[in-house]
Amino acid sequence: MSAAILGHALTSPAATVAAPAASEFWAPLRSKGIWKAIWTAFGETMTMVVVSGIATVIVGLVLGVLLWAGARGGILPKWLDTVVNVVLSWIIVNITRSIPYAILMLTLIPFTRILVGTSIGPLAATVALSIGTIPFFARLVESALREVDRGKLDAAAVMGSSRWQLITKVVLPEARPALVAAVTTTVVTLVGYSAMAGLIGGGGLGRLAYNYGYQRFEWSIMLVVLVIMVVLVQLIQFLGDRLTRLVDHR
Amino acid sequence: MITVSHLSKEFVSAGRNVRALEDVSLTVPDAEIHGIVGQSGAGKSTLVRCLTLLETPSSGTVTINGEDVAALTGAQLQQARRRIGLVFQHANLFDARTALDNVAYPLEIAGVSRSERRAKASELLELVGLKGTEKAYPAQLSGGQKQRVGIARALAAEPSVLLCDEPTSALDPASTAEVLQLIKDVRDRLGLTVLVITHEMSVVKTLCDSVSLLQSGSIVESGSVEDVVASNGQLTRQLVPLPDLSVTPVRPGETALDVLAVGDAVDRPFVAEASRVVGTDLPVLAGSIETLAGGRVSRLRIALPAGADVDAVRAALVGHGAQVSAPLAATTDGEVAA
Repeated sequence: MSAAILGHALTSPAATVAAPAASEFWAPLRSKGIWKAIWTAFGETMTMVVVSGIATVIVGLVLGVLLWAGARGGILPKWLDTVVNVVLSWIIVNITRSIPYAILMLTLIPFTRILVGTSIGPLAATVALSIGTIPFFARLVESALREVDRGKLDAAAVMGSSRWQLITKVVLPEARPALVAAVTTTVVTLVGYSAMAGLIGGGGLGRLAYNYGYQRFEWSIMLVVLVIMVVLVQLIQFLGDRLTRLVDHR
Repeated sequence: MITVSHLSKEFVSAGRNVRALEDVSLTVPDAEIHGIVGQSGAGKSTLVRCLTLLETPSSGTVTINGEDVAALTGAQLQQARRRIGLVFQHANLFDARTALDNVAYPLEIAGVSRSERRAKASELLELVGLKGTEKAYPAQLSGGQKQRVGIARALAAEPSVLLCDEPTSALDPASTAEVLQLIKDVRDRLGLTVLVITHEMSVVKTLCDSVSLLQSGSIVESGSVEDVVASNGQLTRQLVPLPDLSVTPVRPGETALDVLAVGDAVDRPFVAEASRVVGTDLPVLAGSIETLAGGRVSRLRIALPAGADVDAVRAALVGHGAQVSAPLAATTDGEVAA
């Protein structure tokens, strides 16, 4: 028996066993349909993140400013201070933040139906996503504004700024780097939440990973989704950090 | 002109009433620089906050150019604030704005058009010697430069009164001299009434026409710098201190006298005169001669031997135009008991 024959006899069965395993693992990715599905899911995820991101930033910024002004006192009229402290700070922000996100999502289904007309699809998911992240973002905005030096606020007041001027021309611009960082953190959180929202009818990459990867044991699809998610989050973080540095003049 | 009359401010702190200011009255005529000195905790910051209308006084009035500003609220308060320029210890510039935009801020909130306020702001930056730094952000400026931008910003709304709250306390000696000179120039050029709050006697010496000493919330000494020095009170000792290193201890049995002379009296031979009265040559334990508010001041500490006729010496020196302290006896460790 020559060494070559022996080598062939030993290696060849192993190769024929391993090759089908590898091809089986990656097989789901060879179908054209799956890439189309991934692309659609990616689009849905982006819809959820972008729409709820915009809603969160707009509403959360207003709530954050109110929270900051209410806690500081003397900026808002007295009656509004009370409203902000009781209603906003306590009921909305603290209570909403204590409810686990998965449960909040389910609780909001009837509300979503009233608002959007359906509880299925990425647009419907943005309702739960926004309501889940607005309090989180509002708290981040509040702490960003708190970092603004008291002396600057005094300076602005002494020069005769109105409340509106104090907030729009001094406090928000001075807190800009921290605010950009807060938006970055919130958008990254939204990407994570959007995957969870996918499971209850939102669609998107989370849904795809669950259906194909978990229920059909097509791990390769799960892996592709994972890579897309990681790249997406890294990209958001990178851009956010760049932007933070760009607006930071300290 | 700034007039403060019977100003009091009480705080409730930890359940107790704290009197931060008690019956403070003060007048600063037009184009004069008035210094308010005091230890930390004396009520300086509260006084500034009342004058800038950041705090409402418990009682009393603050009148600026004939208008009582302490009682104003809302839009009138905002208008009144624009007539007062405030310079802070830490310039408190806005980090997100360039030097030019910082100076333009008071004009921006007053609704002045963009081109007009930029022109005015660069004019002011030039006035404070910072031409060319228009586009720099505060982080790129030195401490002294920041303070000068702060002064330009305080001047932007053309106030009639400039309040300076510890304007040089955070600066190095060279920047301090620059900033003080700038405040003086600004007063000369624009005819502003200036109130400087400080704990540094050097600021009073180089800058102020008149001065008040604030102690535990009350003004205990006040007047033109010359008068205050001549009064031989606490401010005199702080403005014309005896250099620590030069003080020779008083030996047991000896009596020390502080001899203060102002103006031409500085030229009189006080030590020789005292020596003649006592009958022996007397040593000088410590001495200081300075120029203050344009006039000379001397303060000498002389030691009289045991048995000398202290009253006769005092009478002779007073006859020469000096002010003589009560006898300072030696304590056991050689220090002087005041």
